[in-house]
Amino acid sequence: MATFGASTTNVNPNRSAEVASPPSDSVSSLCFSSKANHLIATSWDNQVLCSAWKDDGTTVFSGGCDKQVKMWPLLSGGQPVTVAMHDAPIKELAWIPEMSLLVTGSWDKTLRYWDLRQPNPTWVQQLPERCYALTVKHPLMVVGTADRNLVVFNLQNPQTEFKRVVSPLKYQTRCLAAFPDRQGFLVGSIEGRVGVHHLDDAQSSKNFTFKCHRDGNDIYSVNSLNFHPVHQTFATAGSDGAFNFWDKDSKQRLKAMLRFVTTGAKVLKITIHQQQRPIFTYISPRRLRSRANHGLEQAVGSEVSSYSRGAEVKGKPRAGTSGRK
Amino acid sequence: MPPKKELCRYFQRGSCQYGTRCKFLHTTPQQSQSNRFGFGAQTSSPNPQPNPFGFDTQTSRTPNQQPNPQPNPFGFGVQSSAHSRGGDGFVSKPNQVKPFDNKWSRFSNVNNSSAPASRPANNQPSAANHTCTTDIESCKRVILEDLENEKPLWKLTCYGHSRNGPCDIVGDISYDELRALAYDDAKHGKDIASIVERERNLLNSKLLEFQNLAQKPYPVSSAPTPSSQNMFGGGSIIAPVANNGFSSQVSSFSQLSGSSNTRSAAAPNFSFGQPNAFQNNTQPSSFQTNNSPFNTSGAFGIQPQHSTTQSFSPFGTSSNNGALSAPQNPFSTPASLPQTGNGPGKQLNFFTNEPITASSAIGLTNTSIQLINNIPTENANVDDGVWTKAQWNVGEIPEEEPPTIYIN
Repeated sequence: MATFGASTTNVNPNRSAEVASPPSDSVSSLCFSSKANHLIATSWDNQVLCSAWKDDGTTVFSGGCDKQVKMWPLLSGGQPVTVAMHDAPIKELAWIPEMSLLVTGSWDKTLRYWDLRQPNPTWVQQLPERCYALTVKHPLMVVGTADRNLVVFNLQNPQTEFKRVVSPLKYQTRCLAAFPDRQGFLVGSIEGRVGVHHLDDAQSSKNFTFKCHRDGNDIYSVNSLNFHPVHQTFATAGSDGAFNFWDKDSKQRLKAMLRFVTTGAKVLKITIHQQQRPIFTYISPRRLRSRANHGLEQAVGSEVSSYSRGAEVKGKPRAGTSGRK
Repeated sequence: MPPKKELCRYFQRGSCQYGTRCKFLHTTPQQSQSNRFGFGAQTSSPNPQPNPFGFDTQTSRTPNQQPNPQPNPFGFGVQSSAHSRGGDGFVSKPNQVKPFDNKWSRFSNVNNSSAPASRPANNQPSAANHTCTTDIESCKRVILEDLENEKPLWKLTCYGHSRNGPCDIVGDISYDELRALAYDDAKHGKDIASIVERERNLLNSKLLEFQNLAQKPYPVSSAPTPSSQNMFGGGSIIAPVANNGFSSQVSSFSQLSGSSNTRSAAAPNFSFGQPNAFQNNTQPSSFQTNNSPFNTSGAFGIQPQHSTTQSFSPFGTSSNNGALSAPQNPFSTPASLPQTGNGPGKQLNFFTNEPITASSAIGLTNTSIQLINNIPTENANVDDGVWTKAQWNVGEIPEEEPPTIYIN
């Protein structure tokens, strides 16, 4: 894991700063603290797949292929404590401050809720398939599983599925993001497409999908979706090494960040800082060997931070609002 | 005729708020036909198709200049067909960001009593527009187009041709899973070559599935109910590593049944690939309801002695001349098929008049059969020896299901 230190000179085209000491292997997840200016990045060198901050800003959770979730009390510098276990690698986790529970999704097709004081899960929720993506905005929680299932939960009633939807996209679900206003969520898939889905069926006419992260005939997957906490805009990161900012209400792309030109760079994750200061961070591995869909890849993780000017990621009004007469 | 001869520039963008009473001309401009999308890029794009949005490499953005007629110029697929942007003008909605709307909690209270499953059944307006049974041609076209044009770079994926509809090809593997698997194998001492080999096999078998789908694009009917859990735990069967031979068998098999089954549109040829069929209670014509997956024993397997057109494909549906009231639920058939006493996993010989060339291809059999454990027992008023026969001739096909002891 690496924490955000002083920035160094950069080599990438977006004039972003790089983190001083990135992990040695490909970075798997990123998380900003809500309180302090800290960033947690997990990487594959220890097969950690996901991370989350506790809301007090002092403790971090990490879960991965060792099928456990470890809690790291950063302030006291103590040893990590195992707080959760699954039967298969843990793909996603999230801390729910409103319920003081940790929720973890794993490839063993379960979602488990944990009260940190107890060794057993508070509740085990069966999923139709392996968990691939998770997004939580209390009380909305959406879980994306294999075979294009999307399961929506109302955390006020977490023991029943609120709704189960088949993904509006045609291929494997890769990432999810819930709207800040909890009206719906975004789904990203491996086919370079993002779907906007509203929960309320009265608003289902506002559902749509759009294509992104494509380059000629190459269709890259959308690796990460994140909403900007202030403006209702979101960013997507794709395997083509680019990331873009979009406004779903006006259906426009707001900003396209320049793509990485190093071989096989792909943007894996974006985290948008929770505070007002518009920082967002993206990570991209620079592969040393040629890109391959199969086979082991050696990747050097590098995280990059970028300051986005607020105006660039603010939503634009829909065309036609100007009163002409 | 409007007093001014100028073109309305808002109409060009697709968002004139005056609509018909606008005093400028509402026509598409003649000179800019080549600039249909006004996308800032001054390329004359000959294709009127939706612009691959997001592909624009410019970094400076201008508000989209969308001509009106195209409903989704940038590939924004609006799902509900009811939503149309009429020429009346595209009213700009202010950002409807309601902080935590009440609607959400209201649904949750209702959910306690009423089964949540029924709720989704009612509210799938977009999915319901699409039923493969009625419009199989367009579904096929969609499948073929997708497999031609929209091939993602990551191949180990499931695929469904209809949005909000069930998957046509199941068996998803994600990057991370593959990587985790590779790391684990490496830890256990496997060398890179064998890992790569295994992954390559996975890839090939998946590609084969897709190819087969392309050749025989019989789509799965989209259910009004969302695809709920595969009652046979299909996902678990299709475990990433074990999937290789298995899935390819399925596909080749579905080819077989497809060939013998030209008529029934709802033919669930993806018998294994479409376990979701079971959840589909509301389409009586296409699938048997899932609460009685085995009840077609009477309907399916046991035909009066037609000599001619009875071709029974082992796991698919039979194409016969309306003797069957409903197309068959593929999973039901194994129940009525006798085991040859070879035990699970072996080939089954099926009662058929036509030679089934692919009976050899049906090596996949028995996992599916194993799943079907609650076979109703009925008394057989035929000689029990029938059940152990290797092959049935016309005239000795029993009318009941085999007693449980003969299954497995």
